[in-house]
Amino acid sequence: MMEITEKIKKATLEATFDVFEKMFFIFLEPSEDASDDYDMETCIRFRGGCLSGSIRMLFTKSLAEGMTRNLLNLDAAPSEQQTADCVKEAVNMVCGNFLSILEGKKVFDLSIPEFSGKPLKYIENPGFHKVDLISDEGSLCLVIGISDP
Amino acid sequence: MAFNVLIVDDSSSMRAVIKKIVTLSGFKVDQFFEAQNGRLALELLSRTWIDIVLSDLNMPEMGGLEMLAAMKRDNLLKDIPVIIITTEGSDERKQMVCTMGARGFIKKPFLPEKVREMLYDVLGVKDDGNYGKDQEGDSGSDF
Repeated sequence: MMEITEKIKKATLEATFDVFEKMFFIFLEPSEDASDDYDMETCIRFRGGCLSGSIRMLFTKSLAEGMTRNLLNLDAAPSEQQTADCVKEAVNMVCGNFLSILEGKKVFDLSIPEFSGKPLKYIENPGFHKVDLISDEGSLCLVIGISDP
Repeated sequence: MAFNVLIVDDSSSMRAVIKKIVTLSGFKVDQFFEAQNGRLALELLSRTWIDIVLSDLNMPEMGGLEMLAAMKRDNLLKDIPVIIITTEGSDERKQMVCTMGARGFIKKPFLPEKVREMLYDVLGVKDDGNYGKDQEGDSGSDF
């Protein structure tokens, strides 16, 4: 179980760093004391072979807006629609990248990402893996729910 | 010669990013067209001259694979090159997409250079670093 948890955590970090650095020019790092007060969340589900699950990404507003500004090269503050669109694309890319790292040879079906405003707080659950990340722009929390691989 | 480029993606942000990358790459574009899913792309393709399609796979209503299959069944659309830009990067998916007739496959996240290289490669344009720059009376000489 520990080995699986480590594998998932490593794949999550690698996938997320790659997406955020290449597409949003944001450098994240793991944090033990990240915010637990997030402003928005996006979620995607996946299934393929014997593996299925979901990835939730919780963002502070400052991080989500920073990502959107960088992606779209905006000087002004992004609109709510632009920000929602951007974070949905982020979870889509992180999920695809995560699954490529975890099970590169399998084909997965991904759901259309969903966006919602103020997220529910994360409650510790053994079926989910939580990763907290911070950057100069703000905080990000990933919650990965995955069937037993 | 300048090309008409159709970008198919349900994310307006991603369409804007791809558009920007193609523009900055120096690739000569006559007009950009955009569609939010495969069905809208097919509608647009039926009434507009498009030289190349850059499409996502995972979209609501009609995804990229279904759109690609429909294009291949249509004698007027079957030869339009399609490059798939997607987060789904497994070897099997890539092979499936190419077997269905896509001419290129780019995995997100991507570097701008990758999009540029793929465009030049698929359209058979020589990328010597000058293509797309204003060259009076000589804009097509790189073919």
